[in-house]
Amino acid sequence: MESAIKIKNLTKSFDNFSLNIANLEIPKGTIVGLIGENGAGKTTLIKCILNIIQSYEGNIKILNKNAKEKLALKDVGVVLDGIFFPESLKVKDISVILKNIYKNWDNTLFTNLLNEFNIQKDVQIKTLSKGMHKKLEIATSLAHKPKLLILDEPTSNLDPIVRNEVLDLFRTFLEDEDHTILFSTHITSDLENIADKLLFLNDGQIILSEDMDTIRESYGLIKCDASYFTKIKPEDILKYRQNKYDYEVIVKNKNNYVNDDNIVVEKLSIEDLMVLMIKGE
Amino acid sequence: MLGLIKKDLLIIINNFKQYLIFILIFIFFAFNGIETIIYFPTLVITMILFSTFNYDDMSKWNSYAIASSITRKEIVTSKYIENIIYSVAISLFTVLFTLLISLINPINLPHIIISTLGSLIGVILLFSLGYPLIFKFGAEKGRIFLVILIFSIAILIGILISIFGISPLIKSFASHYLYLILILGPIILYIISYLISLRIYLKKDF
Repeated sequence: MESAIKIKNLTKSFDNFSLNIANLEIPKGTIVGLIGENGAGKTTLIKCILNIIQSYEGNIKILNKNAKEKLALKDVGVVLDGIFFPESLKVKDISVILKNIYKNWDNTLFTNLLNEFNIQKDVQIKTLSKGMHKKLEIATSLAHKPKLLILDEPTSNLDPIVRNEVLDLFRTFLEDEDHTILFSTHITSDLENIADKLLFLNDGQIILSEDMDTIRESYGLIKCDASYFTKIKPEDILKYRQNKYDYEVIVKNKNNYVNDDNIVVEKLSIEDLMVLMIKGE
Repeated sequence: MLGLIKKDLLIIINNFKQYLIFILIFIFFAFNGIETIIYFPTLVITMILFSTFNYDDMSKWNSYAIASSITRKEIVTSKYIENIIYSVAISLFTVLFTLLISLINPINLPHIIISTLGSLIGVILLFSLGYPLIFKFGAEKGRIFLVILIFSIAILIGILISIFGISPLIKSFASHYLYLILILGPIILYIISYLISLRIYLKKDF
Protein backbone atom coordinates (compact mmCIF):
# COMPACT_ATOMS: atom_id res chain seq x y z
CA MET A 1 0.00 0.00 0.00
CA GLU A 2 1.29 3.47 -0.86
CA SER A 3 2.24 5.76 2.00
CA ALA A 4 0.88 9.25 2.57
CA ILE A 5 3.58 9.91 5.17
CA LYS A 6 6.83 8.01 5.49
CA ILE A 7 9.32 8.79 8.24
CA LYS A 8 12.76 7.24 8.66
CA ASN A 9 15.19 7.82 11.52
CA LEU A 10 13.69 11.13 12.59
CA THR A 11 15.51 12.81 15.47
CA LYS A 12 14.91 16.25 16.84
CA SER A 13 16.56 17.21 20.10
CA PHE A 14 15.79 20.09 22.43
CA ASP A 15 17.48 20.90 25.74
CA ASN A 16 15.14 18.74 27.81
CA PHE A 17 13.35 16.61 25.25
CA SER A 18 14.05 14.65 22.14
CA LEU A 19 11.83 13.13 19.48
CA ASN A 20 13.05 9.83 18.06
CA ILE A 21 11.07 7.98 15.44
CA ALA A 22 12.91 5.18 13.68
CA ASN A 23 10.21 4.19 11.29
CA LEU A 24 6.66 5.37 10.67
CA GLU A 25 4.42 4.84 7.68
CA ILE A 26 0.91 6.15 7.33
CA PRO A 27 -0.80 4.39 4.43
CA LYS A 28 -3.01 6.33 2.05
CA GLY A 29 -6.73 6.04 2.71
CA THR A 30 -6.43 5.72 6.48
CA ILE A 31 -7.24 7.92 9.43
CA VAL A 32 -4.60 7.77 12.11
CA GLY A 33 -5.04 9.12 15.62
CA LEU A 34 -1.99 10.40 17.43
CA ILE A 35 -2.27 10.29 21.21
CA GLY A 36 -0.02 10.89 24.17
CA GLU A 37 0.39 13.05 27.24
CA ASN A 38 1.01 16.78 27.01
CA GLY A 39 4.66 17.18 26.10
CA ALA A 40 4.93 13.69 24.60
CA GLY A 41 6.03 15.15 21.26
CA LYS A 42 2.80 15.13 19.21
CA THR A 43 3.04 18.76 18.14
CA THR A 44 6.79 18.49 17.55
CA LEU A 45 6.19 15.51 15.27
CA ILE A 46 3.49 17.40 13.36
CA LYS A 47 5.72 20.47 13.08
CA CYS A 48 8.55 18.33 11.68
CA ILE A 49 6.24 16.76 9.12
CA LEU A 50 5.05 20.22 8.05
CA ASN A 51 8.55 21.68 7.88
CA ILE A 52 7.71 24.26 10.58
CA ILE A 53 10.59 22.64 12.42
CA GLN A 54 13.22 21.89 9.80
CA SER A 55 16.43 21.36 11.76
CA TYR A 56 15.79 17.66 12.31
CA GLU A 57 17.81 14.65 11.30
CA GLY A 58 16.27 11.90 9.24
CA ASN A 59 13.94 11.74 6.32
CA ILE A 60 10.27 12.64 5.98
CA LYS A 61 8.26 12.02 2.84
CA ILE A 62 4.79 13.43 2.27
CA LEU A 63 2.73 12.16 -0.64
CA ASN A 64 5.92 10.78 -2.19
CA LYS A 65 7.81 14.07 -1.93
CA ASN A 66 10.57 15.04 0.43
CA ALA A 67 8.87 17.21 3.07
CA LYS A 68 11.45 19.96 2.58
CA GLU A 69 10.88 20.11 -1.16
CA LYS A 70 9.07 23.11 -2.62
CA LEU A 71 5.31 22.53 -2.91
CA ALA A 72 5.54 19.23 -0.98
CA LEU A 73 2.66 20.52 1.14
CA LYS A 74 0.42 21.81 -1.65
CA ASP A 75 -2.03 18.93 -1.22
CA VAL A 76 -1.97 19.00 2.57
CA GLY A 77 -4.61 20.72 4.69
CA VAL A 78 -3.72 21.73 8.24
CA VAL A 79 -5.37 22.64 11.51
CA LEU A 80 -2.75 23.60 14.08
CA ASP A 81 -3.24 24.43 17.72
CA GLY A 82 -3.06 28.23 18.17
CA ILE A 83 -1.59 28.80 14.72
CA PHE A 84 -3.67 30.58 12.10
CA PHE A 85 -4.26 33.84 10.23
CA PRO A 86 -3.72 37.23 11.92
CA GLU A 87 -6.82 37.91 14.00
CA SER A 88 -7.56 41.36 12.60
CA LEU A 89 -8.30 39.86 9.19
CA LYS A 90 -11.88 39.18 8.20
CA VAL A 91 -13.13 35.68 7.43
CA LYS A 92 -13.61 36.58 3.75
CA ASP A 93 -9.98 37.79 3.54
CA ILE A 94 -8.79 34.20 3.93
CA SER A 95 -10.20 33.43 0.51
CA VAL A 96 -8.55 36.49 -1.08
CA ILE A 97 -5.19 35.41 0.31
CA LEU A 98 -5.31 31.65 -0.19
CA LYS A 99 -6.58 31.73 -3.75
CA ASN A 100 -3.22 33.32 -4.55
CA ILE A 101 -1.39 30.57 -2.71
CA TYR A 102 -3.19 27.31 -3.50
CA LYS A 103 -3.82 26.46 -7.15
CA ASN A 104 -6.76 24.29 -6.12
CA TRP A 105 -8.44 26.83 -3.84
CA ASP A 106 -12.20 26.52 -4.27
CA ASN A 107 -14.04 29.62 -3.19
CA THR A 108 -17.48 28.01 -3.59
CA LEU A 109 -16.45 25.08 -1.42
CA PHE A 110 -15.10 27.50 1.21
CA THR A 111 -18.35 29.50 1.19
CA ASN A 112 -20.39 26.30 1.46
CA LEU A 113 -18.35 25.11 4.42
CA LEU A 114 -18.74 28.50 6.13
CA ASN A 115 -22.49 28.33 5.58
CA GLU A 116 -22.57 24.78 6.92
CA PHE A 117 -20.76 25.97 10.06
CA ASN A 118 -22.84 29.19 10.34
CA ILE A 119 -19.75 31.39 10.11
CA GLN A 120 -20.31 34.91 8.78
CA LYS A 121 -17.86 36.11 6.15
CA ASP A 122 -17.77 39.78 7.06
CA VAL A 123 -16.57 39.49 10.64
CA GLN A 124 -13.04 39.77 11.93
CA ILE A 125 -11.48 36.48 12.98
CA LYS A 126 -10.88 37.81 16.50
CA THR A 127 -14.62 38.19 17.10
CA LEU A 128 -15.25 34.45 16.68
CA SER A 129 -15.75 32.22 19.68
CA LYS A 130 -13.20 29.46 20.27
CA GLY A 131 -15.48 26.86 18.74
CA MET A 132 -16.28 29.01 15.71
CA HIS A 133 -12.59 29.75 15.30
CA LYS A 134 -11.81 26.05 15.21
CA LYS A 135 -14.57 25.47 12.67
CA LEU A 136 -13.13 28.23 10.49
CA GLU A 137 -9.71 26.56 10.68
CA ILE A 138 -11.26 23.27 9.60
CA ALA A 139 -13.18 24.90 6.72
CA THR A 140 -9.96 26.61 5.59
CA SER A 141 -8.03 23.33 5.71
CA LEU A 142 -10.54 21.65 3.39
CA ALA A 143 -11.15 24.37 0.79
CA HIS A 144 -8.12 23.72 -1.40
CA LYS A 145 -9.19 20.09 -1.80
CA PRO A 146 -6.24 18.46 -0.03
CA LYS A 147 -5.37 14.78 -0.23
CA LEU A 148 -3.88 14.67 3.25
CA LEU A 149 -5.16 16.37 6.38
CA ILE A 150 -2.81 16.94 9.31
CA LEU A 151 -4.70 18.14 12.34
CA ASP A 152 -3.40 19.05 15.77
CA GLU A 153 -6.28 18.85 18.25
CA PRO A 154 -8.98 19.60 15.64
CA THR A 155 -11.90 18.83 17.92
CA SER A 156 -10.77 20.64 21.06
CA ASN A 157 -13.08 23.49 22.14
CA LEU A 158 -15.97 22.02 20.16
CA ASP A 159 -19.24 21.03 21.76
CA PRO A 160 -20.35 17.40 21.18
CA ILE A 161 -22.81 18.33 18.44
CA VAL A 162 -20.30 20.28 16.38
CA ARG A 163 -17.66 17.68 17.11
CA ASN A 164 -19.87 15.09 15.50
CA GLU A 165 -20.41 17.38 12.51
CA VAL A 166 -16.67 17.71 12.15
CA LEU A 167 -16.13 13.98 12.43
CA ASP A 168 -18.79 13.51 9.73
CA LEU A 169 -16.85 15.93 7.53
CA PHE A 170 -13.74 13.84 8.06
CA ARG A 171 -15.65 10.67 7.18
CA THR A 172 -16.89 12.30 3.97
CA PHE A 173 -13.32 13.39 3.21
CA LEU A 174 -12.18 9.79 3.60
CA GLU A 175 -14.73 8.47 1.12
CA ASP A 176 -12.09 9.15 -1.50
CA GLU A 177 -9.70 6.21 -1.10
CA ASP A 178 -6.75 8.40 -1.89
CA HIS A 179 -7.39 10.66 1.12
CA THR A 180 -5.61 10.37 4.46
CA ILE A 181 -5.90 12.00 7.88
CA LEU A 182 -3.38 12.24 10.69
CA PHE A 183 -4.81 13.88 13.77
CA SER A 184 -3.71 14.34 17.34
CA THR A 185 -6.28 14.41 20.08
CA HIS A 186 -6.98 14.18 23.77
CA ILE A 187 -10.58 13.24 23.14
CA THR A 188 -10.42 9.47 23.18
CA SER A 189 -14.02 8.98 22.06
CA ASP A 190 -13.10 10.61 18.73
CA LEU A 191 -10.50 7.94 18.20
CA GLU A 192 -12.96 5.19 19.03
CA ASN A 193 -15.46 6.75 16.61
CA ILE A 194 -13.31 7.38 13.61
CA ALA A 195 -9.68 6.22 13.70
CA ASP A 196 -8.37 3.24 11.72
CA LYS A 197 -5.08 3.22 13.48
CA LEU A 198 -3.66 4.50 16.73
CA LEU A 199 -0.21 5.92 17.30
CA PHE A 200 0.81 6.34 20.90
CA LEU A 201 3.64 8.75 21.54
CA ASN A 202 5.37 8.91 24.91
CA ASP A 203 8.47 10.88 25.78
CA GLY A 204 9.27 11.43 22.12
CA GLN A 205 8.92 7.79 21.07
CA ILE A 206 6.18 5.67 19.56
CA ILE A 207 5.28 3.14 22.23
CA LEU A 208 2.30 1.65 20.44
CA SER A 209 1.23 1.56 16.82
CA GLU A 210 -1.83 -0.59 16.31
CA ASP A 211 -4.93 -0.95 14.15
CA MET A 212 -8.11 0.07 15.95
CA ASP A 213 -9.78 -3.14 14.75
CA THR A 214 -7.07 -5.17 16.48
CA ILE A 215 -7.51 -3.13 19.66
CA ARG A 216 -11.27 -3.64 19.51
CA GLU A 217 -11.20 -7.32 18.67
CA SER A 218 -8.07 -8.65 20.38
CA TYR A 219 -7.16 -6.29 23.21
CA GLY A 220 -8.96 -6.52 26.52
CA LEU A 221 -8.74 -5.34 30.10
CA ILE A 222 -8.62 -7.94 32.86
CA LYS A 223 -9.10 -6.99 36.48
CA CYS A 224 -7.98 -9.87 38.66
CA ASP A 225 -6.27 -10.88 41.86
CA ALA A 226 -2.60 -11.77 42.28
CA SER A 227 -3.12 -15.50 41.89
CA TYR A 228 -4.92 -15.16 38.56
CA PHE A 229 -2.35 -12.60 37.38
CA THR A 230 0.34 -15.28 37.54
CA LYS A 231 -1.74 -17.48 35.23
CA ILE A 232 -1.83 -14.90 32.42
CA LYS A 233 0.74 -15.74 29.74
CA PRO A 234 3.52 -13.12 29.82
CA GLU A 235 3.44 -12.83 25.99
CA ASP A 236 -0.24 -11.82 26.20
CA ILE A 237 0.46 -8.95 28.58
CA LEU A 238 0.94 -5.54 27.04
CA LYS A 239 0.94 -3.58 30.30
CA TYR A 240 -0.30 -4.12 33.82
CA ARG A 241 -0.75 -2.13 36.98
CA GLN A 242 -0.76 -3.47 40.50
CA ASN A 243 -3.39 -1.70 42.62
CA LYS A 244 -3.96 -2.09 46.32
CA TYR A 245 -6.45 -4.95 45.97
CA ASP A 246 -6.18 -6.09 42.37
CA TYR A 247 -4.31 -6.07 39.12
CA GLU A 248 -5.35 -4.28 35.94
CA VAL A 249 -3.91 -6.02 32.92
CA ILE A 250 -4.10 -5.15 29.22
CA VAL A 251 -3.99 -8.39 27.29
CA LYS A 252 -3.23 -8.51 23.58
CA ASN A 253 -5.16 -11.71 23.03
CA LYS A 254 -8.37 -11.49 25.03
CA ASN A 255 -9.87 -14.54 23.31
CA ASN A 256 -7.57 -16.72 25.42
CA TYR A 257 -9.43 -15.48 28.53
CA VAL A 258 -13.03 -14.59 27.64
CA ASN A 259 -14.29 -18.10 28.30
CA ASP A 260 -12.70 -18.28 31.74
CA ASP A 261 -15.51 -18.04 34.30
CA ASN A 262 -13.14 -16.92 37.05
CA ILE A 263 -12.62 -13.46 35.60
CA VAL A 264 -14.30 -10.83 33.46
CA VAL A 265 -12.53 -9.50 30.40
CA GLU A 266 -13.67 -5.93 29.88
CA LYS A 267 -13.67 -3.97 26.65
CA LEU A 268 -10.52 -1.88 26.57
CA SER A 269 -11.26 1.82 26.29
CA ILE A 270 -8.66 4.11 24.77
CA GLU A 271 -8.64 6.03 28.03
CA ASP A 272 -7.70 2.89 30.02
CA LEU A 273 -5.16 2.05 27.36
CA MET A 274 -3.56 5.52 27.69
CA VAL A 275 -3.46 5.43 31.46
CA LEU A 276 -2.03 1.92 31.69
CA MET A 277 0.47 2.45 28.91
CA ILE A 278 1.94 5.33 30.88
CA LYS A 279 1.37 4.32 34.49
CA GLY A 280 1.68 0.57 34.04
CA GLU A 281 4.67 -1.71 33.93
CA MET B 1 3.93 35.78 -2.95
CA LEU B 2 0.99 37.90 -4.10
CA GLY B 3 -1.12 36.25 -1.41
CA LEU B 4 1.35 37.37 1.27
CA ILE B 5 1.43 40.96 0.00
CA LYS B 6 -2.37 40.99 -0.10
CA LYS B 7 -2.44 39.60 3.46
CA ASP B 8 -0.46 42.55 4.79
CA LEU B 9 -2.51 45.02 2.74
CA LEU B 10 -5.69 43.57 4.26
CA ILE B 11 -4.19 43.79 7.77
CA ILE B 12 -3.46 47.48 7.13
CA ILE B 13 -6.95 48.12 5.75
CA ASN B 14 -8.63 46.32 8.67
CA ASN B 15 -6.62 48.34 11.19
CA PHE B 16 -7.12 51.58 9.30
CA LYS B 17 -9.11 53.18 12.12
CA GLN B 18 -6.02 53.02 14.34
CA TYR B 19 -4.03 55.03 11.82
CA LEU B 20 -6.75 57.63 11.16
CA ILE B 21 -5.54 59.87 13.96
CA PHE B 22 -2.09 60.12 12.33
CA ILE B 23 -3.65 61.11 9.02
CA LEU B 24 -5.72 63.82 10.73
CA ILE B 25 -2.61 65.18 12.47
CA PHE B 26 -0.81 65.20 9.13
CA ILE B 27 -3.57 67.09 7.36
CA PHE B 28 -3.91 69.60 10.21
CA PHE B 29 -0.21 70.44 10.24
CA ALA B 30 0.08 70.28 6.49
CA PHE B 31 -2.10 73.35 6.15
CA ASN B 32 0.04 75.14 8.73
CA GLY B 33 3.34 74.72 6.93
CA ILE B 34 4.07 71.43 5.24
CA GLU B 35 7.83 71.67 5.52
CA THR B 36 7.84 70.95 9.22
CA ILE B 37 6.13 67.59 8.92
CA ILE B 38 7.35 66.33 5.61
CA TYR B 39 8.80 63.21 7.25
CA PHE B 40 5.52 62.31 8.88
CA PRO B 41 3.95 60.03 6.21
CA THR B 42 7.09 57.91 5.83
CA LEU B 43 7.33 57.64 9.59
CA VAL B 44 3.73 56.42 9.82
CA ILE B 45 4.13 53.89 7.00
CA THR B 46 7.28 52.57 8.69
CA MET B 47 5.36 52.08 11.89
CA ILE B 48 2.52 50.36 10.04
CA LEU B 49 4.86 48.01 8.17
CA PHE B 50 6.66 47.04 11.34
CA SER B 51 3.29 46.42 13.02
CA THR B 52 2.36 43.79 10.39
CA PHE B 53 5.05 41.60 11.96
CA ASN B 54 3.31 41.94 15.33
CA TYR B 55 0.01 40.74 13.90
CA ASP B 56 1.85 37.83 12.23
CA ASP B 57 3.57 36.85 15.46
CA MET B 58 0.45 37.05 17.61
CA SER B 59 -1.33 34.37 15.58
CA LYS B 60 1.86 32.46 14.70
CA TRP B 61 1.03 33.14 11.06
CA ASN B 62 4.52 32.21 9.87
CA SER B 63 4.08 28.61 10.97
CA TYR B 64 0.73 28.49 9.20
CA ALA B 65 2.21 30.01 6.06
CA ILE B 66 5.01 27.44 5.96
CA ALA B 67 2.51 24.61 6.48
CA SER B 68 0.41 26.10 3.66
CA SER B 69 3.16 25.37 1.13
CA ILE B 70 4.48 28.94 1.08
CA THR B 71 8.27 28.84 0.92
CA ARG B 72 10.38 30.59 3.53
CA LYS B 73 12.03 32.53 0.73
CA GLU B 74 8.65 33.87 -0.40
CA ILE B 75 7.84 35.01 3.14
CA VAL B 76 11.08 37.01 3.43
CA THR B 77 11.00 38.33 -0.13
CA SER B 78 7.40 39.53 0.15
CA LYS B 79 8.26 41.67 3.19
CA TYR B 80 11.21 43.30 1.40
CA ILE B 81 9.20 43.90 -1.77
CA GLU B 82 6.16 45.37 -0.05
CA ASN B 83 8.38 47.67 1.96
CA ILE B 84 9.75 49.14 -1.29
CA ILE B 85 6.24 49.43 -2.76
CA TYR B 86 4.81 51.25 0.27
CA SER B 87 7.83 53.48 0.88
CA VAL B 88 8.00 54.65 -2.74
CA ALA B 89 4.23 55.08 -2.88
CA ILE B 90 4.14 57.15 0.30
CA SER B 91 7.03 59.31 -0.96
CA LEU B 92 5.17 60.00 -4.20
CA PHE B 93 2.06 60.74 -2.17
CA THR B 94 3.98 63.20 0.00
CA VAL B 95 5.31 65.09 -3.03
CA LEU B 96 1.93 65.14 -4.77
CA PHE B 97 0.17 66.19 -1.59
CA THR B 98 2.58 69.06 -1.02
CA LEU B 99 2.07 70.17 -4.62
CA LEU B 100 -1.62 70.30 -3.87
CA ILE B 101 -0.98 72.29 -0.70
CA SER B 102 1.25 74.65 -2.66
CA LEU B 103 -1.88 75.90 -4.39
CA ILE B 104 -2.88 77.38 -1.00
CA ASN B 105 0.49 77.88 0.70
CA PRO B 106 3.54 78.53 -1.45
CA ILE B 107 6.28 75.98 -0.76
CA ASN B 108 9.89 75.36 -1.61
CA LEU B 109 9.49 72.40 -3.99
CA PRO B 110 13.16 71.34 -4.35
CA HIS B 111 13.43 71.32 -0.58
CA ILE B 112 10.33 69.15 -0.31
CA ILE B 113 11.63 66.65 -2.88
CA ILE B 114 15.04 66.42 -1.21
CA SER B 115 13.45 66.02 2.22
CA THR B 116 11.15 63.29 0.92
CA LEU B 117 14.03 61.46 -0.74
CA GLY B 118 15.97 61.84 2.49
CA SER B 119 13.20 60.24 4.49
CA LEU B 120 12.88 57.45 1.90
CA ILE B 121 16.58 56.70 2.31
CA GLY B 122 16.13 56.83 6.08
CA VAL B 123 13.30 54.32 5.93
CA ILE B 124 15.29 51.95 3.75
CA LEU B 125 18.20 52.11 6.17
CA LEU B 126 15.85 51.49 9.08
CA PHE B 127 14.30 48.44 7.43
CA SER B 128 17.71 47.17 6.36
CA LEU B 129 18.80 47.12 9.96
CA GLY B 130 15.44 46.09 11.43
CA TYR B 131 14.27 43.21 9.25
CA PRO B 132 17.09 40.74 9.99
CA LEU B 133 16.60 41.41 13.71
CA ILE B 134 12.84 40.84 13.45
CA PHE B 135 13.26 37.68 11.40
CA LYS B 136 15.73 36.41 13.97
CA PHE B 137 14.09 37.46 17.25
CA GLY B 138 10.44 38.13 16.35
CA ALA B 139 8.60 41.46 16.18
CA GLU B 140 8.73 42.49 19.85
CA LYS B 141 12.34 41.66 20.69
CA GLY B 142 13.53 42.56 17.19
CA ARG B 143 12.28 46.12 17.55
CA ILE B 144 13.95 46.54 20.93
CA PHE B 145 17.24 45.28 19.48
CA LEU B 146 16.78 47.68 16.55
CA VAL B 147 16.53 50.67 18.89
CA ILE B 148 19.61 49.45 20.78
CA LEU B 149 21.46 48.94 17.49
CA ILE B 150 20.63 52.42 16.19
CA PHE B 151 21.72 54.08 19.43
CA SER B 152 24.90 51.99 19.48
CA ILE B 153 25.77 52.96 15.91
CA ALA B 154 25.06 56.63 16.60
CA ILE B 155 27.16 56.61 19.77
CA LEU B 156 29.97 54.71 18.06
CA ILE B 157 30.08 57.17 15.15
CA GLY B 158 29.98 60.07 17.62
CA ILE B 159 32.88 58.65 19.60
CA LEU B 160 34.93 57.88 16.48
CA ILE B 161 34.43 61.40 15.14
CA SER B 162 35.25 63.01 18.48
CA ILE B 163 38.47 60.98 18.74
CA PHE B 164 39.70 60.94 15.16
CA GLY B 165 37.70 63.80 13.61
CA ILE B 166 36.60 63.49 10.00
CA SER B 167 39.65 62.95 7.85
CA PRO B 168 40.01 65.23 4.80
CA LEU B 169 40.08 62.14 2.63
CA ILE B 170 36.60 61.11 3.75
CA LYS B 171 35.39 64.70 3.40
CA SER B 172 36.61 64.98 -0.15
CA PHE B 173 35.33 61.48 -1.06
CA ALA B 174 31.91 62.27 0.43
CA SER B 175 31.62 65.63 -1.32
CA HIS B 176 32.59 64.14 -4.68
CA TYR B 177 30.39 61.10 -4.53
CA LEU B 178 27.63 62.30 -2.20
CA TYR B 179 24.68 61.40 -4.44
CA LEU B 180 26.23 58.11 -5.48
CA ILE B 181 26.73 57.17 -1.82
CA LEU B 182 23.22 58.28 -0.90
CA ILE B 183 21.62 56.25 -3.66
CA LEU B 184 23.86 53.19 -3.93
CA GLY B 185 24.57 52.88 -0.19
CA PRO B 186 20.97 52.12 0.87
CA ILE B 187 20.42 49.82 -2.13
CA ILE B 188 23.51 47.76 -1.33
CA LEU B 189 22.64 47.69 2.36
CA TYR B 190 19.07 46.64 1.56
CA ILE B 191 20.29 43.73 -0.60
CA ILE B 192 22.77 42.62 2.07
CA SER B 193 19.98 42.86 4.67
CA TYR B 194 17.72 40.71 2.47
CA LEU B 195 20.40 38.05 2.10
CA ILE B 196 21.02 37.99 5.87
CA SER B 197 17.27 37.73 6.63
CA LEU B 198 16.95 34.92 4.12
CA ARG B 199 19.83 33.02 5.70
CA ILE B 200 18.29 33.45 9.16
CA TYR B 201 14.82 32.44 8.06
CA LEU B 202 15.80 29.40 6.02
CA LYS B 203 17.34 27.88 9.16
CA LYS B 204 14.68 28.96 11.63
CA ASP B 205 12.46 26.57 13.60
CA PHE B 206 9.09 27.70 14.91
